[in-house]
Amino acid sequence: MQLLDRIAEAKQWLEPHRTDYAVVYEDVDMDCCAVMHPDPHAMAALIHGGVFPPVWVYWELAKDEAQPDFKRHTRGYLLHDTPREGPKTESEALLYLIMKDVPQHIWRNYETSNSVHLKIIRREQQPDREFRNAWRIAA
Amino acid sequence: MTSFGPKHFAPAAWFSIDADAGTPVFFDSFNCSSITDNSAGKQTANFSNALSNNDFATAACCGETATISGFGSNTPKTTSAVSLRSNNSAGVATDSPNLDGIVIGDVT
Repeated sequence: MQLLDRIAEAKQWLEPHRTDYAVVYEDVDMDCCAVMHPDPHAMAALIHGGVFPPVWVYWELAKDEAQPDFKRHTRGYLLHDTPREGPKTESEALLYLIMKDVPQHIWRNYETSNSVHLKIIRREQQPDREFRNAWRIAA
Repeated sequence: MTSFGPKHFAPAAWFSIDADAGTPVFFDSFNCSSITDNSAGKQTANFSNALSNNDFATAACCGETATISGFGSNTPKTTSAVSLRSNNSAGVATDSPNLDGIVIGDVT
């Protein structure tokens, strides 16, 4: 079954999982921090297992797309045919989405860089949006 | 000859978001893994199943407090995400209480 069909089936049968967590990150070239919010259907599918491929599949496709002569993906079979990820806990699902949707240089340099910041927060820790463009991660 | 069913013309991804809440909230979606809140009026929807190329078509609309100023205009445009920009009538980037978008294109 192709990935898109698995996603459609998961959406049909699984209760959405609205996590209490969000991921805040920033880098020196960003005007303010960004906040990644997981999709409830994706979280449900990751927790259930058997839907998403291993996260390295997305990295391989990103490598292909970064080539200067990229026109279209030719290794889409990796999404569909690679053995699927098994059930995950909520925190494991969140880590998967960090490694999938947050720029790699942000989380790969998490422990060594002094200019990159990444925090997992509870959603209610965010301030209201009145000064949204002034948000930075406190040291 | 290959037969094409309705599935081939369905959106590759769609979403409806409350981007004006304290934190953006998905009302509902399909084929989205997350949304990134980049700043006021600027969000990025990330896809679970990438599109096969970056020539996909997009359409979006938003609530009465803002108008869409850009959708699918991320530079460089990628197969794994689509960006949204919403402005108020003065042209200032503003969050919208209802931000809806559809993406139509070839899926990987």
